[in-house]
Amino acid sequence: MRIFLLVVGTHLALWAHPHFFIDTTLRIESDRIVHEWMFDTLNSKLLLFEFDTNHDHLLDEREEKNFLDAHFYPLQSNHFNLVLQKGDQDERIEPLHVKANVVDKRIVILFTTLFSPTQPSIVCTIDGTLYSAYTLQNVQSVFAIETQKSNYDFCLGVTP
Amino acid sequence: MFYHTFLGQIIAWQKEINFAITEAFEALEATQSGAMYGYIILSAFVYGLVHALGPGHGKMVIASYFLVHGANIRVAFKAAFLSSIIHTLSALSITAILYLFFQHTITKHFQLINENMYKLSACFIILIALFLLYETLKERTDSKHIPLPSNDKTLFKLALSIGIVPCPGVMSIVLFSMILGYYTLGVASAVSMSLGMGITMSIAAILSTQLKQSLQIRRYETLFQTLRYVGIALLFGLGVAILI
Repeated sequence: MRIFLLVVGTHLALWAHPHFFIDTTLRIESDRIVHEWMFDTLNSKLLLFEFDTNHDHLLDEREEKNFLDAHFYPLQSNHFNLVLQKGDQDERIEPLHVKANVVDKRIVILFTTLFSPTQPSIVCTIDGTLYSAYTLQNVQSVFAIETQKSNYDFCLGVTP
Repeated sequence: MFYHTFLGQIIAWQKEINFAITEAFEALEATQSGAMYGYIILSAFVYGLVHALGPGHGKMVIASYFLVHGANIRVAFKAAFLSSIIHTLSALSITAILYLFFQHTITKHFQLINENMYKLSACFIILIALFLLYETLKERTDSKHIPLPSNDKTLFKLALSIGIVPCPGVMSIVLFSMILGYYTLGVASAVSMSLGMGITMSIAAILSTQLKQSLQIRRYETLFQTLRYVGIALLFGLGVAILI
């Protein structure tokens, strides 16, 4: 149901102008998923201008916290733009080990969600408001997966 | 399905242009080549064209307005360009203020400004919808009543209702240029982007004036009247949706 609402939401979105273009990499393990979100270079530069206050082209601990507080944790109201569905049940999403750093001038957010697909499951990354466009770059999985992706979101069917 | 593909394509183009502009600025920093200035300004123009292609409140407002009120192509063209100019000026001025005075709280202030501008824009849109409803009802009850043609003042109000919300695309490019120290290039890119957006917006405006004229000429009176109310309802609904 939530996937349906998100897809409909995307179709009805009044703004097809994503602010952030995020390249995503997933690693699906037996009991967790490791997510990597890499922001586009242009926006990384803008974000670093704001959050890298000592101008060392890195995010130190305080800068990282400020950045995550402004651009990651507020996504909680939208389930962190994730859908984890086991069977017909939506799973609770609680990101762990959240880190932000800079790689090749691009800001990267890394985090883990606990998830054991003991039955056929769906894993999606989608922002119904289109504020961020997520592109799946790479996925590694210990389970069989089927991928459905567009230029702004993606879903994986995971079969244990 | 078609819409999904169309939306995906627009977003893919925006991503490519975003990447091309970033690369061009890096090349400019490395070589200081004059040709790169031209390339960046041209890329910003294409970005404007594509940026305005996607669904947005501006095209919806302008198309609904001309569907209900009607106008000639020149007026539609003028309204569309005026909207994109205000959209760009709004972005330019807000970016300059954020860059100069709020360097470490840009995100927070941008969100705050954007939310409030959207609310202001929503109020204008609701007022325009009510004005169009008044004119339509008056026309029905009083056969002698002829709606006034859109003058410069009306067009300005229409353009203000759309353009007051700062364009995030323009803001990103201008801020990016400013950070790298290319102030003039940032402004030139914003102007170029505004031209691109103006062209796309004017297509929406002209199409809707042509639709209205074609319905009037063919005397599909009932369909024409229905479309007028649909246009007003769309405008009103859009205003309320943004406001809440």
